[in-house]
Amino acid sequence: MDNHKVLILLPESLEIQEHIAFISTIFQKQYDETESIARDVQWKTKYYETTLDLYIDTYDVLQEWVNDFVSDECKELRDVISGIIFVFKDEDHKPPVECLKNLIDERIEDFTAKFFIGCYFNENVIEEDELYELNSDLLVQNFEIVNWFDKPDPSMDKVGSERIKEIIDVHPWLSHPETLKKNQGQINISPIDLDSFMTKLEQAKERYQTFDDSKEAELFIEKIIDELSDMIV
Amino acid sequence: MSQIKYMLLTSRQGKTRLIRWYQPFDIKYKHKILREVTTNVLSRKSKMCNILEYQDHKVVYKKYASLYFIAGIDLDSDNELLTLEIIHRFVETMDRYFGNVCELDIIFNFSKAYSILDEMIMCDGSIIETSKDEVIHVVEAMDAIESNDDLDRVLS
Repeated sequence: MDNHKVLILLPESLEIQEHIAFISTIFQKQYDETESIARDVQWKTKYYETTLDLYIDTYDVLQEWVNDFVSDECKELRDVISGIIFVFKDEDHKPPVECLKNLIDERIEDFTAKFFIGCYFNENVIEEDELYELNSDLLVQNFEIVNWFDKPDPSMDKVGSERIKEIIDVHPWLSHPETLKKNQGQINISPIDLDSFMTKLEQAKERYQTFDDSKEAELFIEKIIDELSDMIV
Repeated sequence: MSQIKYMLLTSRQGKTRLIRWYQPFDIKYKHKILREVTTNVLSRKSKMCNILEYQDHKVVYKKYASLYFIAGIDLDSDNELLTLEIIHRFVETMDRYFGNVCELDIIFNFSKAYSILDEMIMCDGSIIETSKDEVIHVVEAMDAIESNDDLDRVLS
């Protein structure tokens, strides 16, 4: 199974240390700035884990990059990526947002199955009300703008890198075999393992029947289920 | 007595995570409500009122982290503040069950979220249980029965 591919687009005006900090903060990966593809980046959540390949690109003039990206040569790339993280730091955030919105709208097929994050890497953050309005307009494109330098607010909203992580967490990755039932289909119990498994089962059955207290029995069941699952998975 | 018409749970990205209809609506109207109410609520700024009128009923919503809890209630007979309190109870109960509930918990355990909601709100939209302890107790009892079933299946 191929890794999921995420494209990260950074402006050339961003310092190299900022590139590294950005990628390391989100993906918890030691990123080497000479790499344009960071392979096998583990993405772990409470419920699943998956592996990503990060395609890292930079741009000087966004419109020029977009023109290249919409060309036929890049069709395969456009089709294969699961999501794009655009970083921009222009004082006026509207032109890049408009440019990226048009790109998603017009040139990315099946954009509803992908995620798009616009990360505004500027300390003069987009005001909350304006951000609300902007994001509500971009809802259809599955595109969300996030202020990198936003301070956490009392509404418990995740902001900055935490919000980017949250968007990636809840993305419905198409087919992820690593989800929940890890290594499903590869269960391979050797005869010796099966013997010990059956013995443990028998012992658990006998022990279970001796419990008078239902709470204690419940705890025992949970423990045994965990142990047995560990043996077979 | 509060009688909710529907309860929706929508993410900041406009994705519906839970839906419970407590009154019969035809499928076309359900889609219309989903589309219009969600768009309306998501476009509202954080300092705007949490209650709005929509067609023949009122919509009461509250945002918790990345999730919007939206309830449709009757225009005249229902109490908006009570509805907000019910939403808050629901969130607190899920918070206690999952331990700091997040969107991912609901995506991967939506049946549990539905069980919690069903323990609190009856199928006609009226409130049947307000005690968090009681709801958690019932849901945990269901979990224990499921675990017993699992073990029985393994042992048999």
